[in-house]
Amino acid sequence: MAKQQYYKITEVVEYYSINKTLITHCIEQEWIDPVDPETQKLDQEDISRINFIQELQEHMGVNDEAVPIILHLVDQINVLRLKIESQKT
Amino acid sequence: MTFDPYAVLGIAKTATQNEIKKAHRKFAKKYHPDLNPGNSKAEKKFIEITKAYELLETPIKREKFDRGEFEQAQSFSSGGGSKAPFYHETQNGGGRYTYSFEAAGNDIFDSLFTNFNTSQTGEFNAPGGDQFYRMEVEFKDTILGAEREITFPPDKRFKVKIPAGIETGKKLRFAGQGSPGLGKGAAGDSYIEIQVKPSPVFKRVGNDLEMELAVSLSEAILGGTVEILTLEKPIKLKIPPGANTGQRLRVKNKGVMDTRLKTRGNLIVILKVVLPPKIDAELKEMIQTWSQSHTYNPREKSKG
Repeated sequence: MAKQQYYKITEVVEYYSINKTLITHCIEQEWIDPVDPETQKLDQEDISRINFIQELQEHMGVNDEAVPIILHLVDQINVLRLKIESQKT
Repeated sequence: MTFDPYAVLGIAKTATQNEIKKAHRKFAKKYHPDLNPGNSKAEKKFIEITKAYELLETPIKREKFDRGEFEQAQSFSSGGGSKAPFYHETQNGGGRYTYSFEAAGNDIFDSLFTNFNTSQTGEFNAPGGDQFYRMEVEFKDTILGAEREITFPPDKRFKVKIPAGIETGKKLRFAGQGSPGLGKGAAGDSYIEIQVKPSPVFKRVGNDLEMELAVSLSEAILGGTVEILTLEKPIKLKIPPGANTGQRLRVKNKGVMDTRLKTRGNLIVILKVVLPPKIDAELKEMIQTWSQSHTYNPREKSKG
């Protein structure tokens, strides 16, 4: 199994060109739940979730009020996909 | 074939910047892969429209393109940094965020129809998400139980009772301490997953603890009393004469606390006979004399 990569916020800003303000906003709003809450280190799931939030806000005009609703629904869709896939096998 | 971003976005070459932005926004909402997970056609279309938009998103970039200085868009992200996978790709096989829905024990089909509701005033209500944390706990505390103080972000402090006998992977639930709900929706729960810090001395086997104890040649042959560690204070253990490597001595009620059965497992001490670091002439001579009249085959039992 590949080793789990954890990134500091400064590393995410550098490697993924994501604005630091957006990252801290996502944490404050509890839209993301850093994999390591104490040191606020992020993993790939957190980073991709922030990327998605960035897309929603910058390219789709979604405001702060709607972000958690969309995330909630998207997470439910992902659960449903898993359930459906597990039914197939 | 030349890539035509205007055609991809469905706009005229005379379109204003605002029209370009609007067209991109319309397609992004329709084809974003995280809104169409598993739909490869949508993903392909999304990458295409993003590439088109990157060529036209500012008047400078657009002028460059119109002059024929075609630049391949580097990625779907306008930042130009490393490309992260789409969010849904990180949840394939069950990521932390996806897991949060299942861990609460809700039936997802039910929750789709019962957890969300729109009130008569049009207010949207939805339960808050669950939060997941991991906590490393000292081996001793997981065996005997302990109380610890923890802080949920940003600064909610709680006293946690770590139940005796808890194992790695078990979760402690804090009802209502997750993300706040939307509208009148209830707050989610917080879960702390326990990770037991391994002990260099003890190994847990069910409700028993096992430890290896080195004994000297003379202790093994003649027997004796030695001091051993337990999770509480050290105790005296009697080594019977003729003890051997692998022999298991049981110390009652020094193992794992079982709060449900209100009993306690045992501490199993596994002996390991250790020869002196240097075999001196006296020992060698003594063994030579002894072995001449006392032959035995220690491998006899292992014969096929």
